[in-house]
Amino acid sequence: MRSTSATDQLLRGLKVQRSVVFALFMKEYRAKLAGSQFGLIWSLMEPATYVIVLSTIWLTLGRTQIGGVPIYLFIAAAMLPLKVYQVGIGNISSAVRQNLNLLDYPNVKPIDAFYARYVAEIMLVSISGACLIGGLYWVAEYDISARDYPLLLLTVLLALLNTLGISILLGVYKTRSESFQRAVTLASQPLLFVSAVFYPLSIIPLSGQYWLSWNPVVQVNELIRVAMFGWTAPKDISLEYLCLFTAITLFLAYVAYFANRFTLLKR
Amino acid sequence: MRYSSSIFSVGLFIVFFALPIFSVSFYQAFVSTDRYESAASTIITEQKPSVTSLDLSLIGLPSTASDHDAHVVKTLVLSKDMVRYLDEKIQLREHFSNLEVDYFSRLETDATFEDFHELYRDYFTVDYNVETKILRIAVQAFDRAYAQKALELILERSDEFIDSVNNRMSKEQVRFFRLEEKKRKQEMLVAKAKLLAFQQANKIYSTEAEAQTIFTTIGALETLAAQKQSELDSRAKILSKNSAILQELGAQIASLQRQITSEKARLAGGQGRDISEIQSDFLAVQLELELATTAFKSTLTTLEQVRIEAARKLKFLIVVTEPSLADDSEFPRRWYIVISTIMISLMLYVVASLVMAIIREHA
Repeated sequence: MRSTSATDQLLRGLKVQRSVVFALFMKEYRAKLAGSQFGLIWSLMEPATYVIVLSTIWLTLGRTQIGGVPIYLFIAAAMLPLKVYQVGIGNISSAVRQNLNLLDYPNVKPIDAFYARYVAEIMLVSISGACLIGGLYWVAEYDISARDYPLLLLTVLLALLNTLGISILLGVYKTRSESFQRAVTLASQPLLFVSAVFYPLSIIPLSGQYWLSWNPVVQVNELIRVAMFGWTAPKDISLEYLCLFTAITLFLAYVAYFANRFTLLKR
Repeated sequence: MRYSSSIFSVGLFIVFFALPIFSVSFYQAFVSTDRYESAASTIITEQKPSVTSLDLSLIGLPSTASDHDAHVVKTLVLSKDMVRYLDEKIQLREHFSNLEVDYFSRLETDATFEDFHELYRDYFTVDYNVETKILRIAVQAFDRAYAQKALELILERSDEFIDSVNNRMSKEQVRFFRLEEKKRKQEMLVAKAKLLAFQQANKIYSTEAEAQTIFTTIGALETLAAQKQSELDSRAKILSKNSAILQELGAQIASLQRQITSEKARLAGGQGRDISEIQSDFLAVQLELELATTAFKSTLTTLEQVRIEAARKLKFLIVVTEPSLADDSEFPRRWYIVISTIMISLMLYVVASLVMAIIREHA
């Protein structure tokens, strides 16, 4: 091995990793396009479909607004964070499992598969989210401006980082164990119902609020409501908790990945 | 480890580990101002505990009446109105923006009222315990006596508020029946006046008594007429037809007969209003009065019941523990903050190092 300065090594590593991630990203992108056209359209339409179905439930109960916010906007604002977490738990964390053959190339590290799919999936959710919120703005002319942009930005950023941490952490163990993968798939099924997506947390009794507030998606959704609609945060909702949760998941994710990086390669 | 790579390690170490820990520890140790907490516990009781047949709190569905009241008080304490009130009474804004307080804890002098309220919500906390129904109000201030004073004012204000709610509620409940009572009383008095006017117009107290009187009079007159007639018959056998006595008796009997006829006419028929007509009118007037009286009585009873009911629903703010005077500064919790910072920095430092290591592995 020739001796190099750390800077050179880092820059070279960055270059290689960037091109690997980009190549994997393009592969993801092509796979999405080449696969059934319907699949791509469906993944773009899915959040909107959920929003319409869940809103209909409220509308049949005679509610057109929740806390002064039109029901479609209320659910749409919470559906997108949920979608981000769902692709994190599902698709992104399966990236290594589904790209095992590519790991034979020495330049391709398992984490690159996570990164590439992370970028691809988050982009997809962002596009569908932009369509959804933009559609609500154009068609229904809802007021989509936020009351507190810094808080909104920070919450979204934390949600994205948190999703990265969760994806890598789950991905490492999902790759190692088939039964863990099944368990995660099963356990994440009721996420829609325990994430305060189609109801405000404040309608839950206090003891229930306490338990639900452990769920980071609930934290994100409620914080977004605070930032977007100017609501008062319920008792157990705090940015500090979300920061801490994000820090811990990222920490565990990278430690788990680093400890298992050769095990992942062997498979 | 190669010597040249240490620049990055050191850089990472400083940015993600040493710097945050150093700055936070320095701030907590030398800059941050002590805050003293004063706390009080209260409960809100009703005289009559609201009876629920099923305790829903067991299955996580609380929200009984007293929960509701506690939430009302909580909203009041954390409201902007309370901020204004405290500012008016004890210059809260001045206390918060005191220049001796460190920069991060104090309120900037040109802060908006919303900023002020936000800071207020950081330092003034209300916790409601669903199980014990105890409402704990805590105040953090930069001066121990000030914290106590602020909490006392808050309790006073909350008490006033509960009283005013009680007042308004009982007033509102009683008001309708008060109006009703007035109306019924008026109706009763009108009926009474009508009866009186009727009595005066017809110069009778009661038609029944009047009829009785007439019957008696007729009876007496008829007895007298019969006596006179028998006297006339017995005298006619002795005296001549033209005697003065017989003539006088005849005149008396005729007069009695006329009187009887007129009395009978008074009782029924004849010209003018006879007593039977008057009686039926009188009964109508009397019935009206009776109805009005009954209505008034029942309204009075209901009013009393409502008043008792309202009194039963009165709520009281009971102070379980009086506002305490802090002996030592509990806030900010310096060790807690420093240790949390160390933990988070450590985690971030590890993450950053691993990200770098992973990048380097690609080379």
